[in-house]
Amino acid sequence: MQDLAIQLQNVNKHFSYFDLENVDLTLPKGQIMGFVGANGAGKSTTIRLIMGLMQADSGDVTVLGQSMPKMQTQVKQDLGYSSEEMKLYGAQNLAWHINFIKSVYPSWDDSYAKELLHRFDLNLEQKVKQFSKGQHIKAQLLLVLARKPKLLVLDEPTTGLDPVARQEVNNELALILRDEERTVLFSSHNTADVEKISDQITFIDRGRIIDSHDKETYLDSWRRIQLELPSELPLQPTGNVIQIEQEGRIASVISNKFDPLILEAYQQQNIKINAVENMNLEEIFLANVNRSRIVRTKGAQQ
Amino acid sequence: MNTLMITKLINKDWQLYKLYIAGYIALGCIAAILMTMPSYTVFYIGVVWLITILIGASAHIILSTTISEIKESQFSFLMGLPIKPIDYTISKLIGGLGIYLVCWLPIVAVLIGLILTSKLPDGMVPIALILCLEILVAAAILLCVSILSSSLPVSIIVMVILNVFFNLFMFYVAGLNEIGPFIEQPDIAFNSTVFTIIAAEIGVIALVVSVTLYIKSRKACFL
Repeated sequence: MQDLAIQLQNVNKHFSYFDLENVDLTLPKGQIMGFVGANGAGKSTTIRLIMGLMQADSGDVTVLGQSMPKMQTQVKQDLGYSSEEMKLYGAQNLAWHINFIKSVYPSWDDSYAKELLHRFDLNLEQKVKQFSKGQHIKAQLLLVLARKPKLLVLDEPTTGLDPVARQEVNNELALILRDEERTVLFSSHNTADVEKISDQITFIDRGRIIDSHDKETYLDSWRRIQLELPSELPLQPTGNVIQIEQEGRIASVISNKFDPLILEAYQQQNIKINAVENMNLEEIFLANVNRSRIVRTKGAQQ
Repeated sequence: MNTLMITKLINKDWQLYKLYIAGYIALGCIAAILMTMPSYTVFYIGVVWLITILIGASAHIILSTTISEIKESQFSFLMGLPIKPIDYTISKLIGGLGIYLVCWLPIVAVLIGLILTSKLPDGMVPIALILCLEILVAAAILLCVSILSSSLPVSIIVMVILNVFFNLFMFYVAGLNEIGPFIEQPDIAFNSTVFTIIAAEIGVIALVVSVTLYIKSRKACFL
């Protein structure tokens, strides 16, 4: 328990048109977790529960060893939070915001703030309303990072940025997060952003956690196998195959626990293996979502 | 209750609005001076101006510190700070009313001072005090409604109702036998009716603030 920064156990939250169901999530200290889901999948709701901004209907939310939302004041002292929807005071400049945050957090590190200011290329005297969206996000990150929180929760920090600004923020974030031992929960619907930064990746869809592993496990275990069948009869699932797409004698299968034995099994059935392809995180995410939705639909029909 | 953070949040709001407050005080004082001019027209311009400044300042400060902060998403920035919802509510109640009082008190003090030192009849003091306090009551109600509803339309509707009520209240108080006949007298007539109305006004402020605190204290989370 002490080694976990975040632990959600069987957490449920009901809304009129959306339910977060039986969410179990653990993030060990020192890890960077990418939290991936489509829009409306439940990422922000989960993060709000973690932040103690919302009360779960049932289940336990423990952050930095303390129960949330009961201990939110103490926990938020060691927790940095930034979200896409968050805005600073437009009429004030960055120096004003820094002074305010500095007065709240004794852990504020002036020299690190200066370093970030330089790295993010921000002007202390510039009013926030004159910032571009990218600058606004960088300013928010500066305010969060320079107080050296034990746990960093970033809710879609790059959403809404143009590709250039997104890459800029991601590059800086990747550099900063590599610099030090931090525990980070980073939500996004953009798998490329998450792949770049995260050690662990959790997928959420329609209010349920559908998969959670470290990045290497995903990349090592998932394969797409291109096959040429001896006939047009439907291909039967073999081993850990979660998806089969077939058109005539050509089939493409996805395995989420790839084992070379599966290739031998196909060869024994006179199936020609045309290619075994690695999958990127986006493909893995999409396959995971499709599988989860099929399973849920079947479950609902039964 | 996180007193340190509440103080910091109030100080933050003060820094955001202190220039506006200075402007409102200056305009309010000018209005009070106009009331002392030897012309009925200028006197009434001064009265209308003064009421407008007091009501306008309350609406500006209250709607900006509560509703705009939520609408413009600075509330998300504040929710991440080491505070509970009740800390935020207390900061808004004390801050909103306190910042408004920084504007209200000098204007009312200047008004009373001018009534007492100018050719205006001193008998105006009780009704001036009662009406200015009514504006303070309306400000407290608007503040509490804004905090509880977090809704701009609801707050504006309540503000309109309060302004209509102010006009009715003004005519009602001026028509009271214990107040009306003394307005143009050279001496101040503080009687039991005046004290009862003032006590009731202070009571209403205490009541709406307490009810708001009670409702908000039952909320463990911001959302």
